[in-house]
Amino acid sequence: MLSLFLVESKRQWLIFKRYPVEAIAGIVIFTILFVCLFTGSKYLAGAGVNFGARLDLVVAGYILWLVTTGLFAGPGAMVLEDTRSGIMEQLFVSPFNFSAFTVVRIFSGLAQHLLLIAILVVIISLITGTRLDYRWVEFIPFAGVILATSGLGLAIAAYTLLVKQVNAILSIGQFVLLGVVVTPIQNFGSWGKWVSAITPINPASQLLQHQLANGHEASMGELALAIANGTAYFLLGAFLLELAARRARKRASVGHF
Amino acid sequence: MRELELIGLCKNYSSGRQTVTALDDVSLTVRSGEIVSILGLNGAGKTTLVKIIAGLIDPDRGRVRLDGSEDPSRKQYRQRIGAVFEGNRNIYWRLTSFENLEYFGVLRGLSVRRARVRAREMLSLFQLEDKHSTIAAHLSRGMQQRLAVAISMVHEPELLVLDEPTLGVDIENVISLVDALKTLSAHGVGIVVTSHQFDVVKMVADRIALIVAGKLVASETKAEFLASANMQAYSLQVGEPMDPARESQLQALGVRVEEQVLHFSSHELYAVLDVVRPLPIASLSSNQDDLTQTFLERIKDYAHA
Repeated sequence: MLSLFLVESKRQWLIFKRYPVEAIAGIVIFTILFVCLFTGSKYLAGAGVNFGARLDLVVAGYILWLVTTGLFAGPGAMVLEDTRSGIMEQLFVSPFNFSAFTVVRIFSGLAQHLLLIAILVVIISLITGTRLDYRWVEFIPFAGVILATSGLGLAIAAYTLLVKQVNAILSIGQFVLLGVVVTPIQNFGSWGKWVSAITPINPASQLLQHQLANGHEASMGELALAIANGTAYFLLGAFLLELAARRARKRASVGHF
Repeated sequence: MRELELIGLCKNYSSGRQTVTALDDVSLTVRSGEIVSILGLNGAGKTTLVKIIAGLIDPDRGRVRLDGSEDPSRKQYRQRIGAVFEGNRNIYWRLTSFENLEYFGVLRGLSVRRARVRAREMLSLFQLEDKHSTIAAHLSRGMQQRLAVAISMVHEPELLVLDEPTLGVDIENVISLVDALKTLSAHGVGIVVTSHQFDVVKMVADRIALIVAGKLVASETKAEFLASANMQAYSLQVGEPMDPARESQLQALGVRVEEQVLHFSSHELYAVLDVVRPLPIASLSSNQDDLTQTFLERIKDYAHA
């Protein structure tokens, strides 16, 4: 698995290095999108209004949304690309089972994805003057966000493997993700915290946003919930992808549109 | 590998209310170092068979056994096979030849170090050393196909499955591929290959398996197969159109007349020449070694059966 992780990381890095336009375009587009949102909000609120901690929360939410979009869309897009280019059949002949291989792929590309996000964080912080509160303990909910989103990405990959049509779901999915990441579901009445607990990503993303923006001190229960939610969705996604791989073999649809 | 056994393979495809039989009770054995060529018309079930062997399709019934390793979807089985599928597939177009070999070597279970050693060996075996650092997209079609076969061999599999490996490949690259396959076979690798290019099949195959409408109707050595249909048969091309009276005489002799080409057995040779005389003869050839003719004759046998 380590060897596979290394060559897959190398493959993704080489492709990024040889064909960087797509990744750079992503940074530019997401920066422009944020600047538009930020300046638009300032204009509507009027001069002299100080956003304060709420701005930090918005920045943290926006960055987390960017983290999740790539992980959510990545596995499905890779399945589609490999099917189109005809490589999918070779991936299935490998001794690694397909869901394990896809998981390795997700984590191989993670460092590169986070590097691009880090560049965006610096740009956005310079534009807004935001100072987020970075602490080691935040790795736990961050891992929860990564795991849960990867699980959703694996589920999308499973769907793509069988249906080969994923563009509409990915487009709508970005907005659903935004809602799931930034909505404080836990504050919605007496059932809110239960609904949040079973909503993918939400407990981890909400906790992380408050840690980053307000310096919130997380309890053990909050941290455990963030990780448990992430792990559950991750395992569910991997299970669905494995089922889809078996079904594709049965239907003789591996590598076919 | 000692042998690959395909036992009673069946596969149906359903589309709406229609069910199409792709394979019907196919059993076949491939031994170590043997090159078995699967022949059949389009839609006969060749690709389905190849993909079942490669573990890409689960059969509805039947078993695939590689020295007792039963399930093609299992790790132990897949480590022992290599496969190249039809079309411009099988390689990452944005990686170089060496990077592709290294990547797929690891994907097939080698360590990074071992994959690099094997990548160099494969570039040498397939005469691609000077293309070590060339992006795969910039290789010619023939070189891409050689690279695809090299990739399928990088982890030293004992069984190689090739679906139309020479499609769209020029003659120089075909010969190069054939040489490489013969070298691998001499080293004990079992090879299953489908091809519509009969000259290639004739060059590489030790044994021929004929599939008609999903059924395996023959599995014979190449010599047996060639000898099986119209042994001692001839084809004669007449230099100008024949009159109806001659055509009737020829048909009475049992000659198959296709415009100006006559097909008949050796027993009728001189009788046919007597009928044709004094028309000019454009060509006269023995079909004894003609795989295409033999294939067409055999297919016809089963169509009439």
